[in-house]
Amino acid sequence: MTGFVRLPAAPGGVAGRSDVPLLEGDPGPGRRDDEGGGMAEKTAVNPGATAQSQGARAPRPPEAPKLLPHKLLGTSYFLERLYPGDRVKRFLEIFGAVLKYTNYGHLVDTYARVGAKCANCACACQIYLATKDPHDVPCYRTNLLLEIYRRHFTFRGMVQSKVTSSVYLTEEKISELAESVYHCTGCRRCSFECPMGIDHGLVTHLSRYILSEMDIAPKALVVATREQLEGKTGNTSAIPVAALLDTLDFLADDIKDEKGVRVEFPVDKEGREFVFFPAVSDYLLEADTLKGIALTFHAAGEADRWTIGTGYYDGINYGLFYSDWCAERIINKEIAEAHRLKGQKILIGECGHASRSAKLFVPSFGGGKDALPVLNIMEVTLDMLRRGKLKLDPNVITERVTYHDPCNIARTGWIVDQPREILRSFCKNYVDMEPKGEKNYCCGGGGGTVSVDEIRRYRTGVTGKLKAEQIRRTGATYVVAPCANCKKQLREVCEDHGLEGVQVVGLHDLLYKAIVLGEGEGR
Amino acid sequence: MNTWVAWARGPFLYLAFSVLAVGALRQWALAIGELARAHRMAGDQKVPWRWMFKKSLGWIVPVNALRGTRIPFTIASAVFHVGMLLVPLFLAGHVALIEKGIGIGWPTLPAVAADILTLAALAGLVVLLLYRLFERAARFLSGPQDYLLLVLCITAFLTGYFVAHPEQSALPFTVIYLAHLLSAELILVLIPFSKLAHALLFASTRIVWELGWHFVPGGGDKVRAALGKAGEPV
Ligand code: HEM
Ligand code: SF4
Ligand code: SF4
Ligand code: SF4
Repeated sequence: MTGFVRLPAAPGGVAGRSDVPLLEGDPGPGRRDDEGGGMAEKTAVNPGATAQSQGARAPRPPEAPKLLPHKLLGTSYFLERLYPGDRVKRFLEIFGAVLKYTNYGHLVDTYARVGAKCANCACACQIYLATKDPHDVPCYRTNLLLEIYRRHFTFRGMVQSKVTSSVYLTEEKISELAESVYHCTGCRRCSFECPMGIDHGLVTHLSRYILSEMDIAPKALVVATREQLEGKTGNTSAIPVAALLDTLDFLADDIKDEKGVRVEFPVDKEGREFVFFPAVSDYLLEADTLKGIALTFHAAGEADRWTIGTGYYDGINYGLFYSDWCAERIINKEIAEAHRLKGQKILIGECGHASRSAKLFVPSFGGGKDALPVLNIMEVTLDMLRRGKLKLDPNVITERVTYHDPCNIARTGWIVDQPREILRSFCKNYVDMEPKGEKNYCCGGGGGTVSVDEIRRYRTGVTGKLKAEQIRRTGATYVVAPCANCKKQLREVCEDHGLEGVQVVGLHDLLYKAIVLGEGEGR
Repeated sequence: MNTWVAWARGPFLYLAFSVLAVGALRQWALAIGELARAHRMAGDQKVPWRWMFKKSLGWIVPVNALRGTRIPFTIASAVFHVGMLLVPLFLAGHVALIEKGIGIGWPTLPAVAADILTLAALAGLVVLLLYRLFERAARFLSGPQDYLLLVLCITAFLTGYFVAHPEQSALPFTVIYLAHLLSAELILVLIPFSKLAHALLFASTRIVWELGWHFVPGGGDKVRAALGKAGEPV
């Protein structure tokens, strides 16, 4: 198993963090109580990193990860607590309950039967390609869970256990699984290479779900989700409504200064077509993206189509990464807010996993056929562009631009061409990465790992390595990454790989610069 | 020796086919039942059948994979599978045997074509074996089952070739013949119980994948209730 060296405190990470990895349930010195303030630091995008990512700090070449001896239930990410009882027994109880009450049973059974061990998937995974460590082959990781299934939940496995009177599962195996499934970013690139149709992203998700029910999940994700579901502010960045309204005023003033027009961020308007949910961290960190979106609606003369709701305004759903239980509760908040405002559609901002989780879960948990439709903002923008509602100045963005496909929206082919059509319409010097679209490489921070600051070295050095090479080959100045997660990760990747001068931006950041306002309006 | 051959041609053969038939029916029944259950439980019952059908075909006809990084592997695998599906079913000798047994026959392959397919399949199998032995990832993943199945397939094809061309064989015909019958029967028996089950379940793996993402409303709560955690916070 590839481990990675922990930095005492990553310079770009959470300042002054003194936690140590948890071993055997030891809470570690300096563990802070994260219930209240300090939430924003913990979430998807962290302000320190953004502020510094394009700064003048000398790039630190990522070191090759060193092998750590495997420690019993020692994970490279921080845990909050650990199930205190018999963990093997607990794991099997959880697995049993999950097989019974969800749709994973047949999936696991089929995969356990057909897995060919052909190693086709190996060459598809950016982790294996970077490490060449066979423990990182997708099939190996998936098989960690499948073997537990075979040995504990099939007739043959039970006979085998009786005959040899042995228990297959051990704490060490749980530990290996716990570490391995957070190496995988759940990007599903490998799944499309598997001739047997094994979806490793889904198996990784399932493994993480089972583990999370025994409290094995990165603290960063759990703490943010707790605030979202049970905290006072109800969102992962712990932004209170008053602060949200302030921010919107602020953004509107900015637009007035920069563009010379008064642009509205509609709040709590009932009966609008779209109720808008960006990754909530955008309100803290991606001002340009939000300004771009508001200006786009304004310039098209269609500002009355959308609204932001103060009841709930967070598109982030870490449930997609580690817990079905959380996923359902989170998406229900989104659906409830859309209904409260009598909106007709759910509109997700520039965020890959927020889009995918809404696309998947709104129908799943919100009434199937009768569920509200889900759109990504780029679909709406493209539609306005095609209808001739947007005028873009082709002489504003002259630098080379490339586009990073966030896997969560590109892998299924949902959003691949739309952003390219928009970008090509006004960027003179647009180049694609290779491979791209459905076959893109993950930025290396998928599956929630980007929020786990303590594994930054791994994310940028291993999983983000291929991405860094891809970006370097394009020679682009702007890397357009319409996803909160990808933006944070790619900024860190560029920083750690010495890609100076590369700017990671959102799609609407560039639109914001290029939009030409109508007669008598703006400058 | 001859009694052995008689057994292998008679009762064993029937047994092997019966095991395969029962095993296949069981797996298909299970798969259909489970898929129906998953579909019923899913909150979102819309399934993109057409997309899935297209994708499934894409994997059966591996032209897409020919752009990948393991082109020789893909070709070897395709060649082996074509042989594996055509030769056992359409070889004149096999069809004659089946016709004698159950009275149904069908068109057969010309002997030359069967020879070529057999030799090609053997070559394919050897390439697959070499991959397994020498490619880092494949070797690491492989267990005894993975090698044994390949060796078993090689045995079946190789002995099959020599049954058709006894003059080229150094071993006595009965030995070869017996080895062919037994290895082929073993393959039939193993199909439902080993990773060869992919021959039975291949058609459903994409549907399984798709339905896997169709989560069950309330499933998370039920799991937590079963674990005695109902009502607990995050
Ligand atoms: C019915 C249709 C079948 C389909 C669509 C199919 C498809 C596949 C696929 C996609 C693989 C994955 C790895 C590779 O490409 O080599 C595979 C492997 C394999 N198949 Fe099949 N198969 C079928 C029938 C069979 C049958 C009847 C056998 C009989 C013995 C068989 C034996 C094998 C073996 C031994 C492997 C492993 C190859 C290796 O070790 O690398 N397959 N098959
Ligand atoms: S889902 Fe992505 S990261 Fe995970 S094993 Fe597959 S290719 Fe690798
Ligand atoms: S490609 Fe699929 S069958 Fe082949 S080794 Fe990977 S997971 Fe197993
Ligand atoms: S962070 Fe971006 S690139 Fe990486 S898995 Fe998520 S969507 Fe894909």
